Amino acid sequence: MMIRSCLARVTLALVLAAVALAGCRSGSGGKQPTAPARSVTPGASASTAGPGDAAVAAYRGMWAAFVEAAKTSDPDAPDIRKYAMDNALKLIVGGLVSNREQGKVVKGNLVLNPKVTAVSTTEATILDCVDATNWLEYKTSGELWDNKPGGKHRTTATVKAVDGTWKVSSFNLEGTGTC
Amino acid sequence: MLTKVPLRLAGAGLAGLMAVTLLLAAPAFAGDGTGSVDCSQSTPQNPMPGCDATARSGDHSGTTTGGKAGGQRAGDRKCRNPQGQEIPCERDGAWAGADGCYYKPVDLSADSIAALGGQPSGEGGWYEKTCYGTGPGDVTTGFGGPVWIAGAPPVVSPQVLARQARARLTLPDVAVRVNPSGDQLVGLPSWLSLDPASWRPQSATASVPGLSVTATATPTQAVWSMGNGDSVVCHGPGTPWKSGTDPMAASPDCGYRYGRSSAGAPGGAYTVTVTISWQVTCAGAGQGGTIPGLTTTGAVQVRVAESQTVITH
Repeated sequence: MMIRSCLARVTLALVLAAVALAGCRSGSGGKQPTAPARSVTPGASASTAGPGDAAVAAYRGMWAAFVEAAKTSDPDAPDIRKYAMDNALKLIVGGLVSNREQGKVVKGNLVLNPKVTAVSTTEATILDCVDATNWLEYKTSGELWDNKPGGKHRTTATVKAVDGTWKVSSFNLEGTGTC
Repeated sequence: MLTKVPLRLAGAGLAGLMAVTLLLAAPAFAGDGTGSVDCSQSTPQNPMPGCDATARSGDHSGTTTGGKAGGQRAGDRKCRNPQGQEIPCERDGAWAGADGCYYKPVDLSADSIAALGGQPSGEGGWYEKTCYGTGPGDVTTGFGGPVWIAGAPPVVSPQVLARQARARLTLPDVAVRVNPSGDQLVGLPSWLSLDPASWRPQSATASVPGLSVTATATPTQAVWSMGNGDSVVCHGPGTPWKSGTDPMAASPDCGYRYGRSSAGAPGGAYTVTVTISWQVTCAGAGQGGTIPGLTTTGAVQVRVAESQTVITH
């Protein structure tokens, strides 16, 4: 049940991070996310630091900034703006505002396992299985927000270089159990 | 979380092959922190900022409570959804709109507004919009970020009117005075004061038929950043220095004494910045209270000289 096509095998050649690849399982409910064509650029497997690495660094930076800001639901955290722009920034800032308005914070840790599926000098596409099993919503009073479990989310992201700085410009995170 | 189960209907040759998406009656929110950025919760009726609606069209077969009629606060003062069912007028701090969804006005910082794509021009407001599912299969949407509602507010409540009234407040420019005029002298008292017009309560009113709310902004304190790292907090506009006053006398209510000349500062002068905090209260519609405050700022360049000259008149 473990292995599913949610990771393109070719990208395993990318030595990105020593994160266990156990990240993907098939959804228990027989979900079959229709797999869009994934263009894997073989050239991206070069081990030297290149656009792919910079894109992944920006992607990881965005999530790290989001996780930090979500501890206090601070939509104005400067780090988010360092790593995210356009729709990605809108989504995160909007989400943090909503959390703040509801009296909600998010605590715990998030496990990423990003793979570059396409890369050029100015744009990269990332596929991830965002593991939020232990990144949970809490009331500001300290108790868990609800009793629903966290889960894993198939996520695709577009990362762009503007004037040499890579930022995530959009991402699409799918529901729990999609990878 | 929203559970979607696509069922493939038999063979590929089957005409009209389609994926049927069953929306199971399940809460729309995952228990983990990704719920607020999960675009699968974005719907045409309740789009989330940052989610590309067009790319996902067809992906939302959630039951929408379309329809225009409906209404809130009909003649009997009850709130109804477009189907005519009575619904609570207020829920989780938000008010029912004519579409049966709930709206709560939100205050956004300039940085947040910039991140959300900037403030649209014209009258309108930022709201958290939540549409609660009612029947089986209906999905609750919202909590994905504030949305801009142009024009008149989608809901009428004293709180929403208060925001509107506050948005209409025109606060005066901050006119800063540091006296005695001319260069300040190291070791001698500087009198800090604001033009009285900078420190005057302001009011504005917003109303709909039968309901009116007035917001009043009252200055509460002025924080003077002296340009050298020091700051002074004053609870009034300060007292203007008058010629003839003993130059050794300190201001009775808002003063400072520079310990070093501004020669080393950029341009040879300190930039003195004053930030006035305004408390905003609202009254009307049988309610009163305080809503988030406002600030105004002003600045002036001040040269501070080492001269030991005693000013005489």
